[in-house]
Amino acid sequence: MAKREPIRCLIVDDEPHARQALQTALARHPELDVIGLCENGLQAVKAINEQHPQLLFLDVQMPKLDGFDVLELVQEQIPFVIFVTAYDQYAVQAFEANAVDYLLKPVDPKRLAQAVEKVVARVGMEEPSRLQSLLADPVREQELMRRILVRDGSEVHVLPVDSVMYIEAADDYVAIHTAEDTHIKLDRLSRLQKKLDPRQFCRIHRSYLLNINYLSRIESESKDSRIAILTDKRELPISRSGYGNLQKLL
Amino acid sequence: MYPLFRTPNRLIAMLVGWSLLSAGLSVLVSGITDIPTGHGLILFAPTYFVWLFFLIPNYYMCRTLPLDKRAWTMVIATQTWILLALALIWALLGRGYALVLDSLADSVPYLEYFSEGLFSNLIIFAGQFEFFVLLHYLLIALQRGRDLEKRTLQQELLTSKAELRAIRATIHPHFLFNALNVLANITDSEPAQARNFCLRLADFLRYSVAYGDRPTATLGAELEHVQNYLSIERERFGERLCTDIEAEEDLLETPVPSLMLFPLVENAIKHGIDSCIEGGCLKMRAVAGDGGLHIEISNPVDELGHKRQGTGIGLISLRQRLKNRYGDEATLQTCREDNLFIARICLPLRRASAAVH
Repeated sequence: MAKREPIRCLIVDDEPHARQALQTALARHPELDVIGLCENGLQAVKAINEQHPQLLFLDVQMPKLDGFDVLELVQEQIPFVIFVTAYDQYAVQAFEANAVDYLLKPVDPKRLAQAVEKVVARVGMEEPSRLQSLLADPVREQELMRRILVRDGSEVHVLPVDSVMYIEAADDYVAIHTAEDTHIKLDRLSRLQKKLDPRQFCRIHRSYLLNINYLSRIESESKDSRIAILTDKRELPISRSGYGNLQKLL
Repeated sequence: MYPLFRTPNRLIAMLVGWSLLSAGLSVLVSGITDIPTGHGLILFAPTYFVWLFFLIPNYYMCRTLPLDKRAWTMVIATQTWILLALALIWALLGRGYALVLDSLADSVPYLEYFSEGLFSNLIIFAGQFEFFVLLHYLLIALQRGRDLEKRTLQQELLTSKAELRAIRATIHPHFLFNALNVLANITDSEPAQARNFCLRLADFLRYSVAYGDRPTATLGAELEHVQNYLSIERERFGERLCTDIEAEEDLLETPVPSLMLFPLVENAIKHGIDSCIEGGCLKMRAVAGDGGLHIEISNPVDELGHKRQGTGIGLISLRQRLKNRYGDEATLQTCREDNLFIARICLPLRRASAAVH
């Protein structure tokens, strides 16, 4: 086999011993090159954005951003992921995310070797199997979101849903408006709507999802044309079916 | 069983009382309708007495027509129909009785008397009927309240028993997994530390098992137990976890409920320190004051640090344990101050000393 460049990988785990042990174990695999250790999801997003690793050894349970959050934020930038976690409850979810492998802690050196082999084989293929979107995962759909994650380059913003005034659809993106800021996220309005509390967020228009806590009043221009005035005087159009949705909610 | 007849005493009291009432009413109705009192008593008193047995089945009727589930109008209409039907049956029976009396005593026009008294009797019966309807509903409501109370008490007893067992017997398997991971990670690189880690883990497990059946421990032993737990977690958290625990020296022998501190400290780690990306400091203070033992545990928390909020079951069951043991004398309060979560336990010092024996 022809000599190849080592695969650049990143270890993401919030436990210091776990990072060190994995790094030590990977030292026996010259086909991998550990280019960095990250203590949490925020560091991971930054490192991925700046160093473009090919492979991620990713812990699931971490503070603030867990492993799946990290993937949600950087999925288009990271070709291969191996989950490393103490529990097997995330295995299904991990493979749905198209992870190469799923290692249980404590990591058995033989299993690690198998996982590394798998990655090496896939890197050799012409078309790397891209990570699939986690977004359609039924497990994650069930729970209502308490926060929305958005990324701006290397920076991650965690927006409490209560601070979101409204969300606007823009092609493949959504614009999330808070009182202070607007954040852009690669997502669909209908999918976000499903994960937000329907008693709080109302689809007032094909392109607008409104947090009704920020609705000040409704003005009607004509029979079929109404405008929502928000608490900070911003105005949003209300469609006819959107008005029906609002009436149902209020 | 009809509640007013449930005990022999009640049954006798009811029958005697009703007889007297029947006699009294007979005299009254005789007076109103100018019937000689003696004749009135013979004619009316037995029929009034029988009326009691017309009223009793109404209890079961009331049970099938609960006031909170049926419309008022429907209840009133049904009860009125029943009253009319019962009154009709009674009137027929009463008339039959008067006929018999008539044939026995030629000189007294009982049948005539009966007809004269009928109107007053129906008014009295309607009144008695309404009274019994209200009485029955009242009895049913009281009974239901008692049943509910009983069930709630039984439930509470069951849950508190089960919770106690659960809290004491189980250490979360995740905790053991985590500890094993740490051990696997450090055995090669730091053998001395790994050995020390094993010893503390053993101490931690031993205490949890030993005090699973013993309700009381000393504050000193409890503190040592959580220190063991924290030293295990410190290996996992590294620099993210710092601890600051202080207790007044002479409080260490104070008896306290066993495994009281562990759930609070575990909460502080799992839902507090672990939600903060930079970690933080778990602070605990145990002091005496106002005849009580006051323990305060505080830790930083990042509300959006976890996707899920804690269930709060640990706090609820600890609160229940304290209540079972100390009644209202012990309290467990929690609050948020800025980014800190604070839990405060207050136990009576005096009572705690007594509970050791």
